[in-house]
Amino acid sequence: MSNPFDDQGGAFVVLINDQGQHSLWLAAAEIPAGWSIACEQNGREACIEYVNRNWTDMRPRTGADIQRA
Amino acid sequence: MDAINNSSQLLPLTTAQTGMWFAQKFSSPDSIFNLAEFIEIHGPIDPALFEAALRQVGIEAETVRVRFIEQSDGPRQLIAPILDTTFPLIDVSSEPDPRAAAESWMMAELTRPVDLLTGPLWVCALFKAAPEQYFWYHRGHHIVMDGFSGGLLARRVAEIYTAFAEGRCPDEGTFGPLEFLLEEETTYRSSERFARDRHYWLTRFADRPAAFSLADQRRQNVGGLRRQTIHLSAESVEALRATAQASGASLPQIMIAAISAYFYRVTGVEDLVVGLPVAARPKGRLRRIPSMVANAVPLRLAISPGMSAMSLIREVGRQVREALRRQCYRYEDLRRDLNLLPTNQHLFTTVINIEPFDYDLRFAGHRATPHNLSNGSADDLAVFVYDRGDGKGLRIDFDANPGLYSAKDLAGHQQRLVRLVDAIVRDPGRPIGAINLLDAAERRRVLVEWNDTARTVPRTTLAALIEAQVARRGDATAVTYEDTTLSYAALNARANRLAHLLIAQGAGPEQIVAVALPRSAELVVCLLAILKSGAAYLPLDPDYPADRIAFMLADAKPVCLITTNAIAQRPPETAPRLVLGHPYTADMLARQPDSNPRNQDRIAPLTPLDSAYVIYTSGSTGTPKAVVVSQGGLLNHMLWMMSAYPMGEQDRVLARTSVSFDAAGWEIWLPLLSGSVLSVAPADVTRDPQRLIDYIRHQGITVAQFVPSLLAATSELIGPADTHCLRQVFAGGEALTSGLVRTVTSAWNVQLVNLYGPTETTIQVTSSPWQQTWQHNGDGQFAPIGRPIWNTQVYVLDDGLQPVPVGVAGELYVAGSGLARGYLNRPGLTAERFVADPFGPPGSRMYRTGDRARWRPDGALHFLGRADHQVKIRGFRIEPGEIEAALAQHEGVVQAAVVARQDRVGDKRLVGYVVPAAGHAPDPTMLRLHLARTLPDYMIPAAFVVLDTLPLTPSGKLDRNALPAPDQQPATAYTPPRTAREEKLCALFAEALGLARVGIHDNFFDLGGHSLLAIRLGRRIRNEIRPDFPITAVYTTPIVSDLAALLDFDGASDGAPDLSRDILLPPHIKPSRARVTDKPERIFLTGATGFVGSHLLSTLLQETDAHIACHVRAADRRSAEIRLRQALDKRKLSACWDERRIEILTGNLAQPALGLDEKATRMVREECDAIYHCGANVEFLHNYSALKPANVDSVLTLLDWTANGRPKSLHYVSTLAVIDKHQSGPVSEHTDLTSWQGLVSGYSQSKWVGDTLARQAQARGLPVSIYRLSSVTGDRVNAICNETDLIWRLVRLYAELGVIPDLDVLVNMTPADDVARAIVRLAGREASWGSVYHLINSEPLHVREVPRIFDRLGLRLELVSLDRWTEIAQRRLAKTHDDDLAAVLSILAQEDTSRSHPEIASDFTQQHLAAVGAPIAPVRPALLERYFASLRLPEVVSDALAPATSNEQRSVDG
Repeated sequence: MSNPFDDQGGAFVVLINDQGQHSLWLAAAEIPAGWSIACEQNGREACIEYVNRNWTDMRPRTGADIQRA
Repeated sequence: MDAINNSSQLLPLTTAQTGMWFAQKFSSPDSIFNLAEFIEIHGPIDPALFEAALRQVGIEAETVRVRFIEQSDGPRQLIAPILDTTFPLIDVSSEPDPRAAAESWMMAELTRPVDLLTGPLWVCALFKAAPEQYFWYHRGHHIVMDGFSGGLLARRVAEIYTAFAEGRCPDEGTFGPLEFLLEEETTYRSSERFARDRHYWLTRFADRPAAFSLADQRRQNVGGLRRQTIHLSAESVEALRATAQASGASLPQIMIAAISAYFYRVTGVEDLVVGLPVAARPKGRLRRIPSMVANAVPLRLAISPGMSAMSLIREVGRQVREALRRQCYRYEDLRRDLNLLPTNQHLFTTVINIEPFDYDLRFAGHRATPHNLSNGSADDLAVFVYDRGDGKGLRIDFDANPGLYSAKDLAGHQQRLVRLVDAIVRDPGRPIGAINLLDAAERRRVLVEWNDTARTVPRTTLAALIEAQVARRGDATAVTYEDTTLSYAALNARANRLAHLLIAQGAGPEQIVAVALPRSAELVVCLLAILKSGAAYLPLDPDYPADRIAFMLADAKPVCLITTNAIAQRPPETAPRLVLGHPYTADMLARQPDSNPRNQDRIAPLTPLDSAYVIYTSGSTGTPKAVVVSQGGLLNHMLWMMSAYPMGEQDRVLARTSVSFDAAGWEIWLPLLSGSVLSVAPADVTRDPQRLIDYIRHQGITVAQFVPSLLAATSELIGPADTHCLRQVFAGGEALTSGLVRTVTSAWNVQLVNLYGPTETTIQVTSSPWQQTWQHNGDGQFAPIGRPIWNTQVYVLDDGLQPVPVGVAGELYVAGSGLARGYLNRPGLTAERFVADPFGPPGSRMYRTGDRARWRPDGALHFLGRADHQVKIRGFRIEPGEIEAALAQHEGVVQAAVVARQDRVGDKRLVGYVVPAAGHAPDPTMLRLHLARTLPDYMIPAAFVVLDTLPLTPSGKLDRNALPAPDQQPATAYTPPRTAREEKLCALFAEALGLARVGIHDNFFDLGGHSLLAIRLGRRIRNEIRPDFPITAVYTTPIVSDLAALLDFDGASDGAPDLSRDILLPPHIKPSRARVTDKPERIFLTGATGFVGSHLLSTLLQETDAHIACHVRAADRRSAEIRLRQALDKRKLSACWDERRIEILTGNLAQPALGLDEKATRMVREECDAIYHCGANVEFLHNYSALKPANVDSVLTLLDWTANGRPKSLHYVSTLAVIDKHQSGPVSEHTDLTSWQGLVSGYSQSKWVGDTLARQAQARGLPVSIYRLSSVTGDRVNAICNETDLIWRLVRLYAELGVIPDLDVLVNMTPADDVARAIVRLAGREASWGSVYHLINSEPLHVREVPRIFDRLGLRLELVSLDRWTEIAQRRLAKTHDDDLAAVLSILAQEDTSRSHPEIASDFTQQHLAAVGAPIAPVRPALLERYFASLRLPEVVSDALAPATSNEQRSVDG
């Protein structure tokens, strides 16, 4: 059993959620709710490269609903 | 057999029948080989006419009259002229449940073992269930029947019955004779087509893919049959047919594709091989002969999650067409071609059988419905699909090995298969990986119910909660470290000052403060201060290499690094420092307020999303990566843990884990949140089990956390009084085996909790307090890791990201509050590992752990090991964790590790490492036996290493890289040299092997020596000790002490010894008057570790009640026992082991009094009633003087002890090699062997002297028997030969060379168990004492017959003249430098071929053997074939055909 995310030759997309978080995703799989495509289908390396270029602020964007300490 | 008259025709078996013959011989006795069904006839039947119809079929179909006989060269079939059987008519119509009554009779009949020689092979019965309902039961053994034949017979019975019922003669039958089958087979096997088919299959399976299984446990095949049936609904079948029509595929094709897709989904095996039974009757003529013709062909499918069902269906169609064109090439042949037979490997153990037979049977117009009852036992799993065309849908049977599958397993598989079939017909274009296998309820259970962990977490911070404890318990002790104690108030005040200072330096939310401090109370102050400042702490182990720390500082860019003066010098200045203890720092701290920092003090308000800590973990690329965990996640974890495993003010919690690991987090925060005492263990305590125990006792620790490796080491040392203070133990960081759980829970009075969580989650994500009931559920090799913590979800997903069913292995994913934020400054890596969660709230993520797990039925998780630790050896996918857990279940093992090592190129093997339990000394044999109970052969390590402790990494986990190579571990205890010669040899051995030291009992090959090294060592011995040293002697005498003795003795003389000087029996050896018992209570046995000796021991234990005192050459009793057990184990005789009846006496045959000490000598002389002297030094290359002590002097000693002390008999095992070629024949048991001048080897010379001495004792009237042995070969049960015997070395060489010398030599092979039984029975009968016996069989094998036997194994062997043979052998020797070959050639060179051996008579022996019921039967070719298989001859040949280095390789593997 090999994890499909590790398939070096597989087809992937990059997803993004409203926190600005990115996710590598299998091109063939359904896109989970709350995520949208940030980078269309591409090779694995290209997708990761895309994330490295575009996800520059890794802090989750704090929404108004987050409780304050 | 009466019915067989002389006119019966004897026929060979077809290959298919031969396959079945051997399958039955080698399978479990409970295995079923019967094909059976009953045909339900919906109408009245006239039983007399029905029987007449059966009898008519009996006349027409030869196969139902076939019987088998076993001849010397294998089985034959003959066709009885008439069918000699009865057909019972059983009336069950008055039974409450007629069908059940009938079926129970049928099941009993078909599961009864069938003897191939006596049958019955074909059985029919007619049941009357009701006046208008009859069941015709018919079953045939698979050796005379296949599925196709069953249909042929059933249709013909229906035809004939119908004709009879209508009062007419049936049409003439068209069944062909069996002879046609044999003809067809011969034609096929010599055809071009056969060669082409063979080439096709060999090419397709050249890489020998491994068979897969749906079963999660691997056990032995237990025979029997478990069948589970499900029906595909009529609607589903309708949809299937529509799909078939639309796609142009056939229904069988779609079903094969669907079932294969299911196998893929459950196993994840992407290179899937399934077996497809085929009729293998390509010609019309073949289709008219009922018999066993069926074959199985392998389908090899490449499946991936993204593949659509449609493309799989097309692929199946293509492959089935290809396979059917080559369906006559037999699977047995393919296995042999691929060399899978010696290791009993298969290409597949799972088969799919689609049976769309047209079964519209009518009996005199009455409809009939067939019901299949048995297709025989399944190796693993066979899926049968029946489409009887009755419109009721498809019936799907799972026929399974009951040892592997429960009824519940099968039912679960079937329901999911049906769901998958339905999904495929709904949308054949859908990716296979995306199909949901679970029903709504199960899907909900695994995704939602078992993850229902929602809890409201209060709006607060960790710092605030600790400050609340400070307010409540200001004076109570918060932290201790050695002599330092801090109260809550003091801790808080110091942390506050530092926090204010950090804030002043820019620390705050979303900033990082690094800490590099030794373990101390100050460390806790710093961590708390960072928390209070709102920054994330980055703990760095000051012991890390400076450049690693430098890398981390440069990567994380902390606002400051808190450290001490001593440490501050080491890392380069990459971050601003705060040096504790520095006057400047002290001064600054003194100026800070000691009040709790508030949000308004911080540089920014603190939110739950802000980072709480940053921990580096090693990356697969070698670059460490930092995990960032949020404040909210940490708080969630702490609140969960306080609720799940509450601690109180009375608790003292051990902080043991290095703070650079995430698991240290709760050790520090939980006690401070709970008002407990945090006890920081000094560095020297944390990894030393004994110091740890002392620390726990002195400090009164109540709660502690261990990595399982350390827990095991600690549990070994701990006494009951040591831990009375401990109440709770957490284990985490590694898989916890149930064996360790047992040890800890039984010895300690603690609650043991298993924790699981990767660094990428918040410390832990699942936990499981140990429950007693978990010990007995059968799957407990690892303790469960339990259920998810608060606000956390865990998923077990397959490659298509679908949740797997309960009990099926998949990869573990984690979602929810337990998730880390990601990797610091590594967006790409974060996006790879933290991926969108399809099952969680919109926009949420899940972390893929890379760990494998499965759900237990109760909703707890089982950890199965790292996905990337899986190794592949010989094509088998292996989880080392599974072997480790099995090893740890051995009572003598506390800890185990298994790794695949490649210490030499091309030699990848499994090595097991074990730490013994106190008072245990597990040896490899025991461990192998233990593992063999639950694991298949390929999962049993090739070598074992016993270690005092397993090497640990700084975090306390197993350090796999630090495990030693097995070769460097001497198997025996070190014994220093005693003489100058031994000293020299020890040094040379050590030098050749590259070891620090070698003891005198060490074996060159056990220490990793192989033939190249042996030659090197031999040369060194020539240079250093003796110029004429025979280099091959290292090969034959690999133990230092033996080699020293050899050198000492061989130095003495050369040339022919005068044996006549040594045959004088001292006069004091004479018989006493006392009666000797033939029911001995105690027997002394020498040579019990030898080949014949171990069989003697086993037979003595079985056939007598005596205690057996075994003489074993070893340094001490323990090594002796190991040797003895290994000897038995090697021959699969371990079952005889009886602790109470075996006594072990260590000694050495070559020493005075056989090397026995005084006590042992007294025991043999005064307490034994019989002596079996089977031990001898059998080194063929040694000269007489080297062998005399062991082979002559020992006989004198034992004759002395026979004549003196307690009255006893002596049974001396001699050899036919004592018969000199110059002795005139025939030589009977009574011939006086006076000639010895023609004996050439030291061995036969020394045995002749021993034999002669024993004969003199007989002549004096002593109760002494002499048993002269021929070639003793493998036992009849397991066919395990003594590979090192000359005969097998020769056979091996012949096989390698492909030629055999044409010598006029008879080989008289005698199976070891026959020989042992003969000796023990003769020895147990007083009337047989005092004689010589020739233990040979009456039908020796001529050397010229050997090529024919090779041919049957598919091996070529050519008969050539001795000269030609020697020439070929010499040429090979020049190329390979094969020492074994050299040794054999030197022996053959001494052989005088001009003179043949005298004829040997054994009439006297045969009479006596008949009297004691212990005949020595001839070795038939069938047994010989098994010998060859157990010696792996076919492999030898294929190796020899490979280029050059083969010998080296083999000796290394061996």
